Amino acid sequence: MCVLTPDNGDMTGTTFLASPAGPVTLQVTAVTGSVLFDQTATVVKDSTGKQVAGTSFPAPDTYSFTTSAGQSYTLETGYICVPPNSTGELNEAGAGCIQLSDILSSTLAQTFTIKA
Amino acid sequence: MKTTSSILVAAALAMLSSWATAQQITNEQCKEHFVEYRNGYRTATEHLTNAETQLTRQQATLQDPAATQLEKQQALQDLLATQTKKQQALQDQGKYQRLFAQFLNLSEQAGCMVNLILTAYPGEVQKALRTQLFLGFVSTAEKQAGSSSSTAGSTDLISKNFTSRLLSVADQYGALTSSTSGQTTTISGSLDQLFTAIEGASKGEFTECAVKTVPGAGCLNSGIVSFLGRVSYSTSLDLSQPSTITGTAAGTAQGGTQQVTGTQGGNSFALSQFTAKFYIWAQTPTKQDLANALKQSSYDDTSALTARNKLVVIQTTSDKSGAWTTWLRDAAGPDVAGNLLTSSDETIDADLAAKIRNLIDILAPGSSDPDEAKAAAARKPLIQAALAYSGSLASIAKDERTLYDKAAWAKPILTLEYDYNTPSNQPTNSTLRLIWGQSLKSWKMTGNVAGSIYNSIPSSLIPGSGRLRDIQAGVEADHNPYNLGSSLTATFSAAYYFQDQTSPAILNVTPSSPISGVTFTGLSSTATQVFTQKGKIHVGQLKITLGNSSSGWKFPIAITGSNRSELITKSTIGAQVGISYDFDSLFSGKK
Repeated sequence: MCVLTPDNGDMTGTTFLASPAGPVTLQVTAVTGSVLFDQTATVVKDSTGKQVAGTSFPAPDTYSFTTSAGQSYTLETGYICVPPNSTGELNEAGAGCIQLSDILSSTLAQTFTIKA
Repeated sequence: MKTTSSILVAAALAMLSSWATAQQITNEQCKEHFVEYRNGYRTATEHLTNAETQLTRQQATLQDPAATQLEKQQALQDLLATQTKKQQALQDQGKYQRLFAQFLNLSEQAGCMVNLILTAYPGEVQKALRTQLFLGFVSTAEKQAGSSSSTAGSTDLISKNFTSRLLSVADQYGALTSSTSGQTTTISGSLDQLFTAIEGASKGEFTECAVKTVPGAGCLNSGIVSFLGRVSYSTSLDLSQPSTITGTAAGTAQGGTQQVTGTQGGNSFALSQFTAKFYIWAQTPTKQDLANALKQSSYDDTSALTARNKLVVIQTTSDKSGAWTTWLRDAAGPDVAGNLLTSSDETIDADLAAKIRNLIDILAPGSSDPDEAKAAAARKPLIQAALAYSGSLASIAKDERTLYDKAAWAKPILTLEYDYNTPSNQPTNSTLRLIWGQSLKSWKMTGNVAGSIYNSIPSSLIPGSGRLRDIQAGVEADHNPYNLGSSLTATFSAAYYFQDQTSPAILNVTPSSPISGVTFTGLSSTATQVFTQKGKIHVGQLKITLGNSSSGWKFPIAITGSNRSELITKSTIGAQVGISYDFDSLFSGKK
């Protein structure tokens, strides 16, 4: 089930609303080559800057975490493109779910805000 | 037909027009996406306008008292379909607007924004780069000066006879691998290693095109780099070749003594073997293969992430007053006059250049100072941070390619190998070999078939001789190391090798100058070549290698048996033991 929608009030295009609160699964979809999450650089932090517990990488291209209603989170993602000219998209996992961003060979890392 | 042609021509022109925009984005991926977002937003807007026009018409039909029931039913169906289209167009508009805003954000698409920032002031970028490269060169020169002198067993090329500085530098940077065993130095590597070595040291001045963010920097297409990675080479140089010393008498003899001046002649090294390998086919590694290779690698992007974070901090700091957010709204907001998302293709280059200069003024306050020196000084930290990111991207690309190669090599692979052999006291020969490698659960299987020919036709006086020297086949199975506890590991392997010696093995001899280690009895004083019997050779080997993963030593024990060898026609069986120590392990983990 898709839970993320864009926050249209955010000009930067980096804020997404999670409704209902609960598990969120993100997936990197390769367009060319292979793109994996850099597991050391991918992390979700709560509003106090503390890492959220219970996050996981079910697969090298998938990242899961859980949100609580009323909370705001900072999602930092890192990517590894192999070979280096690989590109991809960061999507919420599931058919028809939202695309959060494009991943280019020169992207390396991104930062998003998730509001539950 | 004419209409179709016109549409095609118009579409082609539109495409050319789209690609002609955003000339200052020199990174192809960034440019492609910049254009895609603009075109995507434009198309979504057209779809939205069309949908709204259709909805108006369909609603009018529904409310038209003159419309038939059938027409109203059709209009209702169309209206529902159009509402879906409108919804889709709105979503697409939102998506492209979002992705476009991210494109202009250093925390989302750092590489593309760095590319744009560096394009704005090319002169200052080149100056900063020259300084970086000079400092890098000085550092390298210092490293070379510290190389050890020539000693037996040294692994550094600079200490050997062929004092090629280029090779030495290449070795230091990882463009090739050199090793010395006794008097034989082997240089090996793959063709892409030279490229990746330069890439890693170039601070972004020379890299794969996909990660090129410095305008005017050299780059190589990733496809070419991949192709170069398919070719590897290995060449062995025998450093024990005799060199002659010629003494020329100087002065007059004093009794039984006389001074001479010595000069050295002859080759001090000779090519012993050259091997080229080209991998013909390899299975594409899966994501799990790549993840496994990553776990076993020393991939570290900390410095790249630090460089990116520095840029993000610059942007965040500039936004304390809201200046950056305002800039982004002006640049990416479709309703703001002069924005970059909806501006025309004719003006986008100028608009983009102006907006980037505005941005630099926000990120580096004072960079629009009328005093050019002060302005350049204000921009310097930003340009240096951008260049640091570019350099780290090149370095990361090198590691990512290594990672990919590592994962690819773990998959089934078919390789073609060419060997040029110059064995001591034997005619030179060439071997063409097909190698198949595959992992099967805990076993790594390798199979070979090969044919070897003499490089020149052997003497017709040698009975049974021919151009084809031999054909070979072999198979080897290596079990993954067993962990015996306390870092002790044991690796088992079994190998079988078959060689059909279709032409006798030939030795070149000079009776007056015997071959070291070979004694002939009853050899004619006029013989220049000796040969042995043809036949089939079977060799089998069982090997166990004990090792310690933490201390770096290895202790191989092997039992080898054969029915004969090339020179000796009697069966042999023997045991071999050895010990090796990796001195690098002394320093691992102490960086």
